[in-house]
Amino acid sequence: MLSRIRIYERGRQERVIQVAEPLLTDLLARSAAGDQAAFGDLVHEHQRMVFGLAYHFVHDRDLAEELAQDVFLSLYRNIKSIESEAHLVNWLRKVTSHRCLDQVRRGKFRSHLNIDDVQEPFHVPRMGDVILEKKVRNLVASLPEKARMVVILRYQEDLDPLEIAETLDMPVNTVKSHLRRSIEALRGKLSRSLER
Amino acid sequence: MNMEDLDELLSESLRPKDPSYGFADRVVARLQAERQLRIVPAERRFKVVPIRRSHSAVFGKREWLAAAALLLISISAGVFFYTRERSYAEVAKSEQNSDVRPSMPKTTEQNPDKLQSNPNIAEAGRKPTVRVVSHHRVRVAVARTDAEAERAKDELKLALYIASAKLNTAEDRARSVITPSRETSDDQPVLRPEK
Repeated sequence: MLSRIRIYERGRQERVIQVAEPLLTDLLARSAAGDQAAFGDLVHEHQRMVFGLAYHFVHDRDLAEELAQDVFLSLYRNIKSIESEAHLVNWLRKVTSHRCLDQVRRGKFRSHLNIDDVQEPFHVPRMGDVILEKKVRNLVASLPEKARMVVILRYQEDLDPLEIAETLDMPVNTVKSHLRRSIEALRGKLSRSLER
Repeated sequence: MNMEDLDELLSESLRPKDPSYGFADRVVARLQAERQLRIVPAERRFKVVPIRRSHSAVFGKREWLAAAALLLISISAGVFFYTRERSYAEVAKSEQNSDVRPSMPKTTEQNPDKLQSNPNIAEAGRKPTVRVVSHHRVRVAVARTDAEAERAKDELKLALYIASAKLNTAEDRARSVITPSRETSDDQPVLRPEK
């Protein structure tokens, strides 16, 4: 059995490779048996996804690393309940999303950005433009918490609204309305910059 | 900006990002530190952990032997006291039916010479006379006070007195039948107490 893994490289098209499922299953089994080296490999395998979700949400590198570490420590405590690689990925997505939202609710982190305060991009966007990408990330970071997490899960993890609803424990229609309003707001901002 | 461009731009901007170098090692190091410090996770802090011990560890061979010995001792003690109580009860019953004394309990007086030779017994008057009643392989020592012995002696004397009186009467009647001319001065029997 093969497992699909996406590989992102700057300036290149996304690549999808297939990894033998027994390898990941073996890592999971060894981690559950208390093998910390295997657990380290497992962390290495999924750190991009977990850290990416946290970073795009909190927009702070240190805080995102702290959140990601907490998620992996929590994974180690609950690793015996993880049944498969797919289950592990879903679990990590779900826990990371909820941790990020909890962080905001507890008031430990508040976004200082507001979508109206964010400066619009002043040049024509080109794909692969680092400055434009940063501006877009700033715009995403200025969205309300739930809408922000919906957008991040939709575009980073390429999940459909149903999967996002399952991950965030919210109705599908709410997810769809969050997506629609967020994209309209982002498109408005970006379109204005193009018209200049 | 059309929808496809926006989707592509968002997908490019929101790519998964790499954490700083050595992130996985730091997670493992933190894990080891937590394990060494034995930091109990918050969700398990108040959880009761049952201590599992095997039955053999709780109640081993030595304990079983001790329990068996205790049971044997208690059974022996029970049997001993039960037979002792029963023999006392039988002796008491046999004493109640003293007129028709059963042949089964064999009573033998114990050390009569010793009691007579001891001058203190006569003086005390309250020393028990000891006798042994044997019945069905059970030997029981029965204590009887001197007062009971005296009463029995008096009863015996009275019985002898009545018997001798009856004997005298019968003798006188027999004489009168043999010699009718001869009259006796008294019809009443002469009571001659035995010495």
